[in-house]
Amino acid sequence: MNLTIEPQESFILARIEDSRLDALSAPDFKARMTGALTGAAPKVVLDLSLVAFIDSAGLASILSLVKGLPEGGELRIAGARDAVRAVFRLTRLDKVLPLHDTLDDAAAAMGSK
Amino acid sequence: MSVAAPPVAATAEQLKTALRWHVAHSLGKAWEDATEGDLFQALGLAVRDLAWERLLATEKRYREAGARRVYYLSMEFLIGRSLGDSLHNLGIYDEVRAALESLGHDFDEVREEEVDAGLGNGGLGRLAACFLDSLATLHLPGFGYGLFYQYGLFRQEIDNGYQKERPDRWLHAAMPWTVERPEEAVLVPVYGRIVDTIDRKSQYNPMWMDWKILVGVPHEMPVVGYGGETVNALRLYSARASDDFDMENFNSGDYVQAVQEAIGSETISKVLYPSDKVQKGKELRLLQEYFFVACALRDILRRFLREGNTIDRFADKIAIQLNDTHPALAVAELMRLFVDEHDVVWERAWEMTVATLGYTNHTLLPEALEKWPLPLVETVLPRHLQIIYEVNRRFLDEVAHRAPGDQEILVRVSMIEEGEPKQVRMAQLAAAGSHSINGVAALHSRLITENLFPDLYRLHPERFNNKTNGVTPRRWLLKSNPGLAALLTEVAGPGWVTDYGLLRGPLDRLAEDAAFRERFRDVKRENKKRLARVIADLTRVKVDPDSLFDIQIKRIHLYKRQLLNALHVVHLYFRIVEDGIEPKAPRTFVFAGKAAPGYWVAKQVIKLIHSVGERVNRDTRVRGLLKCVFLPDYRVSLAERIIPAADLSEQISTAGMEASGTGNMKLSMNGALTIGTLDGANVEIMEEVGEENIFIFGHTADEIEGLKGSGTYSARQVLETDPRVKRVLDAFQTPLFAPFEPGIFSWLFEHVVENHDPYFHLADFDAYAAAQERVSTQWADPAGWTRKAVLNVGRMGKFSSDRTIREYARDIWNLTPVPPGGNAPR
Repeated sequence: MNLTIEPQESFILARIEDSRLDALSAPDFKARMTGALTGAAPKVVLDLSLVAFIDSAGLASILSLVKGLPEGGELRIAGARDAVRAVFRLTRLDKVLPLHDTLDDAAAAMGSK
Repeated sequence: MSVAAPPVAATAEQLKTALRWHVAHSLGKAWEDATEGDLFQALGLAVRDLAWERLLATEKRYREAGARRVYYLSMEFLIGRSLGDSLHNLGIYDEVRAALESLGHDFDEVREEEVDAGLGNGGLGRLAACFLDSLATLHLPGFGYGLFYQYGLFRQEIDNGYQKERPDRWLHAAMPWTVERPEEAVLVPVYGRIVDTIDRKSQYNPMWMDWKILVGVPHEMPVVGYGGETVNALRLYSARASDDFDMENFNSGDYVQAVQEAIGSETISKVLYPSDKVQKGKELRLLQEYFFVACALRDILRRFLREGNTIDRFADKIAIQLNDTHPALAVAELMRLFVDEHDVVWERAWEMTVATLGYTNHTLLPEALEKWPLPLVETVLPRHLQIIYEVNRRFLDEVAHRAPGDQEILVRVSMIEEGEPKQVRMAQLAAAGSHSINGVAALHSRLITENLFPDLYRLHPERFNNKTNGVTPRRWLLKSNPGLAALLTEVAGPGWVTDYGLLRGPLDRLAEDAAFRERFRDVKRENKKRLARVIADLTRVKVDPDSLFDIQIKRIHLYKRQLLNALHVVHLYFRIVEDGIEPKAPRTFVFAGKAAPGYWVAKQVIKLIHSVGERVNRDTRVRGLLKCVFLPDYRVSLAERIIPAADLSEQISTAGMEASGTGNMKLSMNGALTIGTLDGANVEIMEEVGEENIFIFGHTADEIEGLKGSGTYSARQVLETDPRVKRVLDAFQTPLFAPFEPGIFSWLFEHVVENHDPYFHLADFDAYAAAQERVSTQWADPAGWTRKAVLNVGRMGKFSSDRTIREYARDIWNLTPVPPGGNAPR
């Protein structure tokens, strides 16, 4: 899958550059993200602005990342489209993970903590 | 050649232009090559253009008015054909006939090209279709939601007297009415599991994971109200596989499995279950019910929010009616949408859910009340089961608070029935989650409070009400009986089409007018001649239009007692051939109806009727005094041929078992006299038409309950003491009715004599035969008969679905008409 992971000043920015996060791409996504989240208390913004479709396997891979975060770690979602937000709401994952309209909003929220 | 847009046609000239345009541009054919089928398609498209234009204008009017809306959720819409109704309601019926005839085509032949949309089993589905017609006619913002079945109710063929089911490929004949809207598809998750997590506020957060996704694609059909000014919509959903559904299998190279999964998801809307009763343990049926509810509620919510509303105003703007328990999952789904997806707190979500939903019960038969095995619900809808548990816990807390110390009541009202496995009771769920619970006839509504929900009635009496069913006079008189409709318009003016009560005064008066009665009889006779031709076409049996047409048309079920009718036919037969007693009235008995494919005895009843007909119709000793026919493949369009020709309407169900019936109303509206038990809406028909204008017989509902309770009823005793009954039943033990299939009717004795017949056939035989004698005596007095028939037609105002819908709108939906140019509510 096309995934870029770039350290920023105060957080790690991960951006999925595919239109789908599904059963096909989720294992790769999970493996690469797990490998990148090695710090003591990693703070991550996941940019989903290019993702048009996410299925339950994709959601499960995000949930497993959340569950694997060490104490003090943080994951925020940025730029999710309506269809993707709907899936987050459906599963109630939006109540676990903060969803921000834009990358800037997510970055600001991360910085303000 | 330039392609201009087709004109929206309203005059004969515009219609001709539109027809030619659609033949050329929509069908790609030269005019001279167009078949009748092509012309039907082109005409359908021309009419659709006009209907859609009005639909968009109607929607604009509703939006500008900020109108409150009702959504009618029904697993079935038994629409039948749409063309004739739409033309009448748009006011262009005569123009279309003229346009086609001037182009050298037979309008009636073109109309015959339309196939029935048979998306329902019987009364419940046809009621939904009548309600949509009345909603639009009354300018009420009311919309239907259902499933776009690929196969409607099966096509019935008769082979050696036995019913054979054939697939009804109604969509194979292209449907000009519907518009598919893939851009408004909704995603519906099913299956999966609940993952327990803690949310950001450290609260318990059950997450629904590992689901599979179905895609619901809406197909929109315009519903034209009479006058054509208001056009509402019926939205029917088909299931499609989502792109992601098969990705895993596809990736691993298992293409066949991937395609099978796609087929599996599309199966959801493939076929209508051929029974409106309970489908025990059928996972596909549960999936259908949830898929339909989920599609409807998502769409309703989407439209509601699109208009700039906020979620807390949902119940202020929206009413949803559940047509029986099939959409009862709406209670859990609405709660899930409010709580999980829109962050409404539980208590407020419940308040809004109850305020939004109304539930119509359609049956008291215990075996017909929907229950789902709890493990199945947990597998298919894990989150919904959690919600049902919580709804039930809170409901039982309320009950315990109001009935302290009464443990029994908790068992009775619980939405979860103990047992192995436990069951989810859909009627209890629907009732607890609705602010209104109604039956469909006064007797039925009373029995709901006494027998079905007595505990809930004590707790919330204000929720219970009656809404006696009705039928639309546009379909069942104006369209299907043009001769009578023209006569009524001539004597009472055209207003009766939307205000049926206007007929009562003039017809009460004209019933005494011999000249009018003669004209009324002429119309009936023409209708009977037409039906006689249909009978000859379908059965090769020639019947006499001057005989009494005795009609029983409905689903075949023991409680509806077609068997009682058939046994009586045999009794009359023996009276002629053995006793030498000629009936006062030569009769043609007409049966039609389908039996659920899995209902073995009902299918045997069909065979029995055919066998009786074979014997009676061929016996020269009967000399045409008696004919008995079974018309195959009963459906809406066939009903429209039969009903206008009926003299006698058989409504003879075991009292207390028919919720309402609507065939009884259609037949009476068309001038048939009713022979019936005091069951369902028959009671109210008697009140309206007068006891002297209906033939009532048999045990009442209370008396039947008494017989059941006391255990005193003995069919064997009836058999031994009534020689007529013995002669009839004994005949079925001989080869008389099945000379080449000996023993095929041994089931009859078992069902009506030996096994404590729960339908009390023989208990009512004597009273039924006596009532039939009264019918024959009355028939011998044509003036008196016609007088009663005229009074029946005139006094059916209560049974127009317009009256029913007005009551729903006023008492349950709090809905106001939004007429064109009227004062719109805000």
